[in-house]
Amino acid sequence: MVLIVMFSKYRYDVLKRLGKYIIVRGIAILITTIIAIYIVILVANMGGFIDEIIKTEIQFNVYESIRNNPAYRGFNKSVLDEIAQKMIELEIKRFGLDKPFIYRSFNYLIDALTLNLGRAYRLASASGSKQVRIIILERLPASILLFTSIQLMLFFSSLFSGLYLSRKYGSKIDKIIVSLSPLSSMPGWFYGIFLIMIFASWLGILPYGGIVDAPPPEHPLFYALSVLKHMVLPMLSWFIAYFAINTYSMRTFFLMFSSEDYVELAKAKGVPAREIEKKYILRPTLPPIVTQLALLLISSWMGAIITENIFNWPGIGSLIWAAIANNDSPVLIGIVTIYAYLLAITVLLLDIIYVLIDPRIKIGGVGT
Amino acid sequence: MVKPILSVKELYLYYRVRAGLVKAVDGASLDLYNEESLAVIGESGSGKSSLAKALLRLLPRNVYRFDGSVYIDGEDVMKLSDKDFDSRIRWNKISMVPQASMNALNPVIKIGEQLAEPLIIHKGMDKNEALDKAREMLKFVGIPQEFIDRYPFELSGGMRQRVVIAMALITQPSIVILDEPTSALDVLTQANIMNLLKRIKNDRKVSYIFITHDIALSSELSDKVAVMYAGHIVEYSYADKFYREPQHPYSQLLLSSVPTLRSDKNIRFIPGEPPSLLNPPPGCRFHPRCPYAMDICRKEEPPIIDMERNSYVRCWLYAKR
Amino acid sequence: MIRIFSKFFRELLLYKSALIGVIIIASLIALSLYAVITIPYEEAVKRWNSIEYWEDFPKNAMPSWINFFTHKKLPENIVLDSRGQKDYVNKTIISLSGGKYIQRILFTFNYIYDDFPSEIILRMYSNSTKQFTTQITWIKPGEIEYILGRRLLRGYESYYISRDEDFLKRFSANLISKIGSRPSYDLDVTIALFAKEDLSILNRDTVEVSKGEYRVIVDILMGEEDINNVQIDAKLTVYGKVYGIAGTDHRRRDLALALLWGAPIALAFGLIASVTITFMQMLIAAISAWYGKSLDFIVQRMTEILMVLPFLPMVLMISYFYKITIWMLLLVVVLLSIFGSGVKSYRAMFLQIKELPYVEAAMAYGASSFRMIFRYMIPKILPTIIPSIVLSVPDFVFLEAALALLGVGDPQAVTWGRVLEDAAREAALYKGYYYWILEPSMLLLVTALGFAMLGLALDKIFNPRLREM
Repeated sequence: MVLIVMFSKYRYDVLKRLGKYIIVRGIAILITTIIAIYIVILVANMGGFIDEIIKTEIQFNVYESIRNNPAYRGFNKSVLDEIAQKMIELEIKRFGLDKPFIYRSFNYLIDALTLNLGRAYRLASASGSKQVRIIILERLPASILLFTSIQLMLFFSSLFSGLYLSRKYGSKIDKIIVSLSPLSSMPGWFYGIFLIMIFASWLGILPYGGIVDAPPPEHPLFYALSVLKHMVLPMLSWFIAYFAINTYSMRTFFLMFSSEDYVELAKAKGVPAREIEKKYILRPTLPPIVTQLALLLISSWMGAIITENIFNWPGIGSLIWAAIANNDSPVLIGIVTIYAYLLAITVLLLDIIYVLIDPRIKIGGVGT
Repeated sequence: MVKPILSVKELYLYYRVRAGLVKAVDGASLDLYNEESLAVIGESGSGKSSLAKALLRLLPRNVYRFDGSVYIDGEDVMKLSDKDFDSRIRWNKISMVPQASMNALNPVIKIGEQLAEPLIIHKGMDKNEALDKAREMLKFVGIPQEFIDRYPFELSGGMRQRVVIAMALITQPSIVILDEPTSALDVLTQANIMNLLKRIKNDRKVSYIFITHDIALSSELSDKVAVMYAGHIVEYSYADKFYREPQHPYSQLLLSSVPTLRSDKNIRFIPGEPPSLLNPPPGCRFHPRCPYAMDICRKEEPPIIDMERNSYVRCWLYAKR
Repeated sequence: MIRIFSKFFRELLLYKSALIGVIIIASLIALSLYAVITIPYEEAVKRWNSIEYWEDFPKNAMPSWINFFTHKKLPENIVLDSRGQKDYVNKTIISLSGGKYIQRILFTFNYIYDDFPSEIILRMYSNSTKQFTTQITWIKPGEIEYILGRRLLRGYESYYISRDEDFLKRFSANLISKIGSRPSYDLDVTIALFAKEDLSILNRDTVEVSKGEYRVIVDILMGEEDINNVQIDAKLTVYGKVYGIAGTDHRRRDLALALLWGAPIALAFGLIASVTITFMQMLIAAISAWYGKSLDFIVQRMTEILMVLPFLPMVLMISYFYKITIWMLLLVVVLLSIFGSGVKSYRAMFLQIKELPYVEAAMAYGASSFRMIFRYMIPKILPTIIPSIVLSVPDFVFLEAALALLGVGDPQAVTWGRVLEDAAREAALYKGYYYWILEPSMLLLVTALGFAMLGLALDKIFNPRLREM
């Protein structure tokens, strides 16, 4: 309802132009996504090599099961071999490994694109399902919880402190933050190691890792508190790593924008400082900032792999790692597909939002 | 005796940079009467923009020294708190058309809203009232009223300049500072804007402070002239006298460097470059480039020497021995 | 040219942070040069991956400068080798009745530390294939003598003294009869061989080291025919708890080797990656912006594809599946990054530069494309790139460390990341081997800080809008 009202305000030709733009961008992004996913399929399967590994494993498992099956005792070797061959072929068919890789790769591609993510080779979800979709979905919330919190915390803290600092340019606190910015040359997980060392190993007041105490508390409130407790160190490690530099770049950003002529004129006009910040500094800078945030959020859901590893966080990051370590290509491809889609959609959405917010692009008028 | 509506006495503005102290305005004094227009002339870096901004208390970061007296309507506004200055003086008594007005308008807010803003803030009008007045103003400066809903980038340079002028006038201040109002425009638009300014001066009874480096231009619209050099006002006199008989050697050189259309003039130029405000030369700041430099000029800064009709010169040539 | 450079350099050093950064980087370079000169790369790799080289080094020993800070002095490593004339070893021949002889090797050493050694191993070497009986005697200060045991030596024998349970039983029995009560904790051989045998030995907290002169006698029984022909040697290693400037790891390796050689590798990896990627991105952006049309289109699509591909999982996959060396890893990282997001921003800059009047002028007089790109466009953008080259070096250094930490690094590589990985895998934090984690981390930290500070100062210089505004 709101959307219709919104759109009816605009002139028809603007809508038409918007629509064309969306479609063009959409197609371009779609093609990009397809190619990217195909590359991942190729790499993840090592050009078919993984399948050989799986095939060998199947052979081994089949022979083992035959040997251990009392029903097959006493049969002579050639008969056993025949039975084994049949079972192997069946298994191979089940995994879809009977056709040469190059054909299968395209099948994979179509499957991936339609989000038919298949079954994992080795991994399984906590509930026992081998469906890749379920495995991924199970892990997704943990990453989203942790990293969205981290990104939002960083975003808002650096936004407000950056804004504050841009007003106090040259002051002592400004200089302090600037001198702290080399802290970001080290990634968050690096500080994580130290934080674990200090707070878990030495002081023992915070957990080493994981998402919740073992055994987990029954009462939902205590469960939530336990999760929060486990989030402290990862969030702190990212905060230390990125607060200073984010504040620094926000502050520089705002500084550049606050030295614009129209800001000075607004000051001359006697516009109160609050208004200036809102209308003259924030509003023009909103598009690039929002873009940044959205892209950051999406990429953060991939769950910084190393951070999740160090903190034993059961999210997508450690799933990726487990998939690699277990040669589980379907899971890998599934994750990357979802990620590619997410990213593509975000980029498209951002293009649209950008157009809506920035009147210069919307109307595309004289002397843009 | 009529009192001036603006009286500046010994205004100083210094600010710090990494390399040292910039003395942008070094003891400037001037008077402006009702419906008078004062042209402030000088080269780039002479401190004229700083003077203008200082009058509106638009100070650079790292201000080191900012004192003196600025009497507007008899009140020393230097003594006012920032808040009072904001609400009573800014845009109420004195407004500004800034330099490089290409970027003076907020790109993401409609023109009407920006025009209406000072009215809402200073005159307590509500939005619709203010927008009505804005439409009137647009008409006055010669812009179609529908443009009230347009964004700045939809206007040409000249039109934007008119909007900025409209914005400066909308609260009917008594003093308007124009900082190089036409330097970013082509000559035709320039002429149009100048005409507009003249019309406004006659209709609205406004006093201008018109800052420019273009002497020819300044002669079109000035009753009084102040020549700035390296932070000092070196000559301050009435236009009719100034353009015929400039006193200060710098003014003389300036005027003789402007080509005239009909007479055959021996064009002179001024050797050397404008001094740095960080490290001005000792003594009279103009002495390295002055054709009449004397010994004393190299050692001591010339004082303000009052001449007839409330004008003055800062030059040892006119000192009474 | 040089004058511009030195003027720029002087301005740079005005910033304190740049000064510190330059000092740090210079020290790293010096360290790297030292590493490369003293131990060549292949040698370092070989050593790091060998077992025999480190056999006399203590396991998980702390750096020896720890002893400055503790009042309880931890023992250093003591290696006594009878090969070569040393004054702590004395070889004698004792003749017995019946044509039998004893070759006696006597080791003497002073033990002045406050804590017990971690291990004690005696290795014996003979150059004959015959089997000989040996007897090892241990003499504590105060002439307290113990026969540790008898071993058979054929060619080579290693006697793990500190794990000799038999001896421990005998010692405990002896102790009980000597003192009258049994200790309240489980003794081990090192304590047995080095503790004061009074009431203090009964309690773990009060047990004291008997400081003084220790003697170890290795007696080998031989016949007449062998006594002059067979060469017997022994090596007694009393493993300390501290070693060297950096301590040792679980494979007894002197961490200083890895820490030292980590420097040139980190520098090389980081710098090569950073410089190559930035330059390639810039080049691609320049070509794309200059030639426009279809070339530009292709480049843009490739950039987008690579932006959608998740970098870290791809690198992980490749290094895990294909088991690559560190230099192959470098190549992969570079290849995956050259169409990265930098291309988009450089391209935007180049598009702006293309519109500049002097570029137009050059086009007008017919400069070739090559000339345009290399002499006009790229030099204009160079100043802004330099800070980002410096600033991205730490990212790559940490990338290598991260991959090593995850276990997919080059297993043979001698880098700080590998040291961290070993430490993590051996649960160094749980076991309290903080130095093992802190040393490579500190080096990583300092490296990163150095480049970051220099980079940020460069940024302020080259990015004029960031200067005093």
